[in-house]
Amino acid sequence: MYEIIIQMIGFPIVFFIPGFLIVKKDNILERISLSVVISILISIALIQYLNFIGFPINNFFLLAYIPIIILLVFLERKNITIKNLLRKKEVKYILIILLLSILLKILFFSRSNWLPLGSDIVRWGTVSHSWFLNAEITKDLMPFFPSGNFFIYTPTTLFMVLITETLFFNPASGAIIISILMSSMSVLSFYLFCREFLNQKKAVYACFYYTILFDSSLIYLANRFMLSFSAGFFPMFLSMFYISKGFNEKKIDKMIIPSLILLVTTHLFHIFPVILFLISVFILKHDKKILKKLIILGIISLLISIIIFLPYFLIFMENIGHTSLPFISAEWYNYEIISENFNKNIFTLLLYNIFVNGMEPFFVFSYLIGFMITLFVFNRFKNKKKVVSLFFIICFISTTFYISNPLFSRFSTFPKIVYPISLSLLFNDVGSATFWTVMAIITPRSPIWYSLFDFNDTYLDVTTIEEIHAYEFIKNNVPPDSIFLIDGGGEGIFEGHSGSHGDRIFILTSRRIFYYSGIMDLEEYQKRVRIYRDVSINPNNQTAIQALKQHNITHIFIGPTDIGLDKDKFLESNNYEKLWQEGNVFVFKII
Amino acid sequence: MFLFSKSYKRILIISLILLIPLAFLEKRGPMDIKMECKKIHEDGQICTFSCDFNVVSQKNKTTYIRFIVTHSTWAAIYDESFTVQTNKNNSHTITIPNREYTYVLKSNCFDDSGDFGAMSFSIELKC
Repeated sequence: MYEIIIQMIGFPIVFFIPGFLIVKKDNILERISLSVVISILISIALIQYLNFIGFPINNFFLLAYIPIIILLVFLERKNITIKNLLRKKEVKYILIILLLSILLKILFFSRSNWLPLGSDIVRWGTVSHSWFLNAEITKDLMPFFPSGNFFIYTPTTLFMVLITETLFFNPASGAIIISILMSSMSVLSFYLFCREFLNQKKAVYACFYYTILFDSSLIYLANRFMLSFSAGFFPMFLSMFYISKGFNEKKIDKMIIPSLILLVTTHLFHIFPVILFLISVFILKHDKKILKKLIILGIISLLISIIIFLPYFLIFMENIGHTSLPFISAEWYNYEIISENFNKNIFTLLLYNIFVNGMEPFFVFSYLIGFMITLFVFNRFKNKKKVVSLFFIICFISTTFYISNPLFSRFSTFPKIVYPISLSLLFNDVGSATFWTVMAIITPRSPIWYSLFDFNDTYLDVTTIEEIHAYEFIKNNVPPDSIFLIDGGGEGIFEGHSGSHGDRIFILTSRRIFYYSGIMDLEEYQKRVRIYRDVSINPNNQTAIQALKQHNITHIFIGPTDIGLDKDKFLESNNYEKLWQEGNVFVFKII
Repeated sequence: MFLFSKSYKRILIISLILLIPLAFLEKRGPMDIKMECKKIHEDGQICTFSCDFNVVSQKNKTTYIRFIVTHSTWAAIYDESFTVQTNKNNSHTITIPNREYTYVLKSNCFDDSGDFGAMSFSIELKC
């Protein structure tokens, strides 16, 4: 009960209130968006600097906000007239769409048993949980995780997960809350962006169509739970809003700085196409004054982001170059060369930009609808030739990144921003909205379809109820210093994936797992794979059992999708005792 | 509407300028791996595969080669590396548990000078 109260009070304090007290904007929607951005940045800076000067990371983190909020309330002199602002029709419509967006995500996560899909959460959660248990931000994750060296380029989402841990959320639940917050806010910021060049009615409809048919943030959550990438859409749209607003009003708002900082630190891998897009916009308007100011504000944003993340970079500075070690370069190259995008020609990739979701190339039907509508409404624009050219040029720019690095393929989402806008130009009445809602429900791989019916099950990533019960059993019955052997660990240094969902044991129960992803030492990594293979081939092999004991492994977890670890062999063996079973999920103890 | 105003030709030119170097960017590593695998043994417990391979490089040198067998997309059940001479035929045996499952074999190579390469396809190992 106490924990729930802290969560209810703490979440708005950490992710909304400080920003809301700082930001003074007449536009309530802009104020809400900025409040979230600024609060996130304050929280991230606070947790890092407090830890840097010696305060441990624990559940008392929330107390640090008391002086901040008192100070901000004291400085706040302008009365907040939220009531009047909410009376605006536009605000009502958008808040309803926002609620719809939140509802879709809640439905989505409820269907995945309230556990995120995919292995990204294990990567973020493992680091965050190790930090939390160690009570400090450190590159040495021992003894909880066998890694003394790692580096993550997108620290914002990592710190957001850590902050939710201080509010008694486990890393998985924290990631879900963050996902709901960031992806819903991306809908709000998308509206702000559209409002700059569409009238109110069309912008509302564009926002609605984005939510039900094209919400990229949710589409990426539904496919391997790309937390960091999904979270980046919010600051990206907000930055685009401030840039377009700047060009329209011939004046750049300094509030672009927080959204640019958040964009850089959630989207660092993926910033380049955004920059290119912005350059395109600059060239279109060629307003030198605004361009100059934007560049200055961009540099200021980078400098402030360095200051905010200084403690993090000071700790991890020496590990930044680790990604260029020869065996890691070869591993990345191996990953890239085998990926589907790598061997495709530029014209196929161009089609990918139009119809296909990027990272895991699959056809999204709503993109086909969006593209067809876009072709149709091109005629409605004043300079249709230029519009057509611009659209394909943006696709073309995005395509170039596939060629240089298939990881950039996820940017195929970028040109698709135009689809909901096109729909709103053609369909902006209640009847059309109803029609498209029905279409969204029956259109495979639309956000609403993902929320109601299906996941991308390529990775069999929905954690089963039996597995969740097993985690509960482990938490309540297995000694805290136990170590679990699970089915697999990772293809290499960066790619971590277990067939069994045993990788979730650590983040949900704090019991350690014998894992081998994220280890920068190839020899140690391969030694671990060898032990796993030997136990898989013959669990009674005495050399393998000795190796397990040498690594202090005490338990075995086997799930319904496991390949290597064979439950029948463990059941037959005298070297293992079955502690728990439900369905095809087993927990064994090494005797 | 800022998106759709004038000067689109400038964008086209800039895009092409950006595109050309990226399109011609080196896609292949300086080394390449040619490989063929066949099953040489199978019983209820294990399968053994023999893989003939050649690390193709412009230079004759010693390089590390790595064999990675995965299941469930990314879970490695076999990962070994050792040194070989480039441009020479070699052979390596892989033993994995028999699960009536299709494992995936990938291979890459690297050396201390920073050169690297990889097999440009994965091989299915049914076992």
